[in-house]
Amino acid sequence: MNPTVITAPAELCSSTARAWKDRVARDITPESTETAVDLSKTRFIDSSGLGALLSLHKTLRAQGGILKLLNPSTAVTQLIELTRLHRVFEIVHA
Amino acid sequence: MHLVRQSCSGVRIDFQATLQSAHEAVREVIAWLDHQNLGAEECREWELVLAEAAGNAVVHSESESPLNIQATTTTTGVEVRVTDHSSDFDWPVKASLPEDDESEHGRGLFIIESLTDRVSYLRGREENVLHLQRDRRTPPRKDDDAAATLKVMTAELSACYEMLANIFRLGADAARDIPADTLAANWLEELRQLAAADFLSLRMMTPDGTQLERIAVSPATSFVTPFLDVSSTHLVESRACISRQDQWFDGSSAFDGADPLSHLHQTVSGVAHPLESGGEVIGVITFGVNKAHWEPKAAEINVVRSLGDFLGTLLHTLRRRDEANHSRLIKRELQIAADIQRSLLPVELPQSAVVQSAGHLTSVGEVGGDFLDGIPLADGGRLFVIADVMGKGVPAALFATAFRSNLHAHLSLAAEPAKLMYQLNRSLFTELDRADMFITAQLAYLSPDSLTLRTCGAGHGPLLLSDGVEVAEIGSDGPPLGVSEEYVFPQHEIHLKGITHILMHTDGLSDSTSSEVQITREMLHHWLRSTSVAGLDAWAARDSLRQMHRVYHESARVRDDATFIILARAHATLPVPCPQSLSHASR
Repeated sequence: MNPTVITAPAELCSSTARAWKDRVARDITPESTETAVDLSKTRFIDSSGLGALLSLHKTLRAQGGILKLLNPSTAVTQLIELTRLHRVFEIVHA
Repeated sequence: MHLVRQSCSGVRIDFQATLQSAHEAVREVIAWLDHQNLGAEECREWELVLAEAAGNAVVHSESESPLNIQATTTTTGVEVRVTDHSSDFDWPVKASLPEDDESEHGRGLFIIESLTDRVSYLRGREENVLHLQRDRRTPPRKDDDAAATLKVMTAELSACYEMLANIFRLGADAARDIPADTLAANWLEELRQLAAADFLSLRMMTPDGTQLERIAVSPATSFVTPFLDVSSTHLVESRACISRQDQWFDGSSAFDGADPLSHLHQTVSGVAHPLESGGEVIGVITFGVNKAHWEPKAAEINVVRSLGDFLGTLLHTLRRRDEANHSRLIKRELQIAADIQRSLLPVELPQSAVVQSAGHLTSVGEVGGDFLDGIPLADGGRLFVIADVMGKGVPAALFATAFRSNLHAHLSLAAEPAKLMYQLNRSLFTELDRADMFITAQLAYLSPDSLTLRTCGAGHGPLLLSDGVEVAEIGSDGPPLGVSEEYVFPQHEIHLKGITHILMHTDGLSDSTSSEVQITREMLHHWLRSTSVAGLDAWAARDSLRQMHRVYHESARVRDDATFIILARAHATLPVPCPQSLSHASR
């Protein structure tokens, strides 16, 4: 089964994160066992954006699923590493 | 003095306490930083830092008051201040990541600290400031527009020359004999024009470091509050000193009622700039305009900062020099007063073959209020006088001098000490009463045949006599001089048959605040009786008592004037050579 791919906005930050998280939560179904967030178009992410990704990660794990982060930019990858979330997220560069 | 001058430029963005408004404000600041030739990666990192800081300010904001971000850049670094209005937030000693890796919150402060070089958070009553600094990771990009660059450089060079010329002028003014406060007032007016400001204020730290004293203001009607408590963080100028950072204010600033800026009766904008010298905060210079918003040019800010720093340091140095000069002057004047006072004392006390006399005077400090005299009189008698003016220092010495002058002016009354005392009291009463001071005194007239002593006391300790068997006290019945203008003093007449030693002394000889180590009245009695039994001459008795006083008072760590006169009946001819009858010591 192909993973569900969700595209993150260009800026996943305090002013956008909550709305994006609510919208994604509605899109996730119990069948969404493998979900990927496409970060290739995300120019900017802050701690609120990271919080939204963590929320999604925990929701999926609770229903036996897994979250992958697809093609984050160098800047986003650096932030994930700075905050040591590379120990939590599976990052895929395709 | 070495001044570091650095050009800078700045921007301030006000925004509402919403995440969307904060987001837009951050974008504005980043666009401005990009325009300041900051590298792309640095801009991205600053965007992240500011997004965290501004978001935090919004989340914790408790009022509708706008927040703001101020950013300044120099060739070496970037400084950003984010102002918030929270009361429940404080910066941790060390920001760290949440213990739970999967926590959805708690990373913002860690990101801010990780991506900046210096972070400080200053809490105020109405607003707080998060101060962020970071050195430039890459030097500014070279501007391709050579003409524009040349124009900027020319302007900067011109400003430098102007600044240097002003500093030379300021230095030259300081070298002239102009009072420090006048110098400050003159230069503040100059500064106000150079900076195109509407008002300027200069405050310097008081020597005890607790207050900011208003030294000069321009125009003279502004900033009426003369002193500010340095520790009051709700006052803009005090806050600048505490934080050692510029404190900006504008039409949206809510000034405390005690803040002089709130007394300006109009909307103002400006900055309070702390002045430092040798690593210490020495004052604050505040300048601004009568407008709700002000975006001063970098050159205008530099003028005030640099010249303000120089002026502050100069004033600090001048004030210290003035204080040192003043201290030297006072010391010199005290020395002169002490010399004059010593010159008024007799060189020797009068002697005879029947009764010897010796005295001692110890002054604490340069001058004191104790006085003694021994005067040979025209009728062949001798007058011995001992007096103590209340207090110490120059005022006491002045009255001691006046007492001496009056005494010598009325020696015709010396054979009747009570009349002389009455006259002295009348002569000195007005001045003593006006100064709220008094003098205790004892007069002792020794008849020409040395067989009779007439005494009169004014609030003084008793005169002691000993015949080797017992010690008698002749009381001092009258009040001190300067208390009752028309008081008629009583007089005692003592026949000296059998009396070998007489002691007149001031309170300093036996008074001490330490009851365990003072010379008590009983000890003086014992000493006088022993002296009489031993048959000491006046000089030996004087030296003995002086030694006892020194030992007891040094052990009690008490410092008081101590003066006494000893009369001793001579058992033999005068020693040859005759010792100095009056000793004097200063402590």
